Amino acid sequence: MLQDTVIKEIATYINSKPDDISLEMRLDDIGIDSLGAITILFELEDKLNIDIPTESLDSLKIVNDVVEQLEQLLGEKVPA
Amino acid sequence: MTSRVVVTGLGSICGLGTGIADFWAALCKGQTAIRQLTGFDDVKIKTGARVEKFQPEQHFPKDLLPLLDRFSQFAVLATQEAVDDAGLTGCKDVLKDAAAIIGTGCGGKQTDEETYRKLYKENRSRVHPLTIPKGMTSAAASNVSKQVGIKGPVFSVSSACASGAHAVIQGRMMIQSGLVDVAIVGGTDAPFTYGLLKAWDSLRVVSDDICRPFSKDRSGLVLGEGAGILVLESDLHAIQRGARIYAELAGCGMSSDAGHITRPDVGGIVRAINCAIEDAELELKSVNYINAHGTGTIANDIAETEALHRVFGRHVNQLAVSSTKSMHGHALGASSALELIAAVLTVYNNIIPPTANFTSAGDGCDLDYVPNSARNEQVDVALSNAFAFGGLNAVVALKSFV
Repeated sequence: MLQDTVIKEIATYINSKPDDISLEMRLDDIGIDSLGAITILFELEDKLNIDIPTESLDSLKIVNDVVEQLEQLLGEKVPA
Repeated sequence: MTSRVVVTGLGSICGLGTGIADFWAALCKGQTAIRQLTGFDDVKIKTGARVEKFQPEQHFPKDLLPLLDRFSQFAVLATQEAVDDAGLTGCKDVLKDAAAIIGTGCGGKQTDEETYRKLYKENRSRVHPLTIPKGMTSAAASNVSKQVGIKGPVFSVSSACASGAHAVIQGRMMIQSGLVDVAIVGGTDAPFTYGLLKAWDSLRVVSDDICRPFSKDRSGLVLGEGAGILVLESDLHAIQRGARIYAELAGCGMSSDAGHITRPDVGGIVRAINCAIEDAELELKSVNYINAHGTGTIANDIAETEALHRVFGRHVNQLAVSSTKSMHGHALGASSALELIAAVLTVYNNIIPPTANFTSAGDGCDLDYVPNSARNEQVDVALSNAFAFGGLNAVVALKSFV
């Protein structure tokens, strides 16, 4: 699951457990600054073989924003 | 009136060990850190003085390591030791106003080479986002600043094999000018990378055996790695806080050959040594010991010996001259800092470290090179020589502090 991949990557970066991270958490609050965000995105780009545009960085506020961004890029988003 | 500048803290990591105690003990025993080089099959260089069994994760938290190239790791560790040795750990008010000037010849080559390998060899299309901040030449200085809390002037200097000495001189000038009371200075380098070794191969100045400075059968330099860091202070500041003073950093001399890119120039060396002697207001006959640049190449050892003859005249026969590169190897930008630390400890302890691996004197090498065994001898004044590729010379004069 994409969601699990994202949470696992974030957990690795902040030296935490995936269970401790929820989709609604703010990236700022869990110690991910802009440099941290681009490092996590780099790892995800590498794993998923995609390119995440720099413009999307500003819209990433909570963990779920990262998941949604990747869903869009991967064309996996399920219509509501 | 300008301040006198003194040395109050020392820190080192190199092939001889982690920490000043191991470094000095090995130097006094004439031990060499030069070993067979493994892990680089397609390289002609067969020996090196590496920091063996170094495990960064034992020294740094996991979240910090992605920002620390090996040359930064060495610099931070040596700085932490030097600051602690000076009794300044936790002295936030002193450290926030201090300077940190870190010399490096190579910078973050491991980061750069790893990146290029992935791009060019593995055809990867993207590189790690921390590649720039991790690999930049000033990364060691930035990380030293961050880890120790130094908030004054911080930058790196680069002059190949004299980088550490030029950093020391810069720090001393800052103290003399009154800009800062305390300066963290020295050098760091981690040159054991595939690309760099291949480049040294081609230059044909590296020994395929061991480093024997000034010996007849010398066959070139042997690369080393590590960091040497010194805490410099104005004498007033050091005395006021009751610091232990190792020695006075009494004078500095710099010159450039403006000539051949690799061949040392006797005239350039002479000018740098004379500048240091004049700056320190020394009488020639007061100088007891020279920690030589002493690379173990044919050209350097002859030129350095001739330069010492020209500067000191008859007194040259009263000098003890040794090359500690025979033990810690040529750690490039770190070397001159490690050698200055050796000279500081020589003045402080009145023990002269030897030139290890010495066999018999080479042609044109006719001085007392303190062969193979350390010597107990009063040393009140010492010089530390550094002569870099590109003709950049830096000499530092030390006096025992009284």
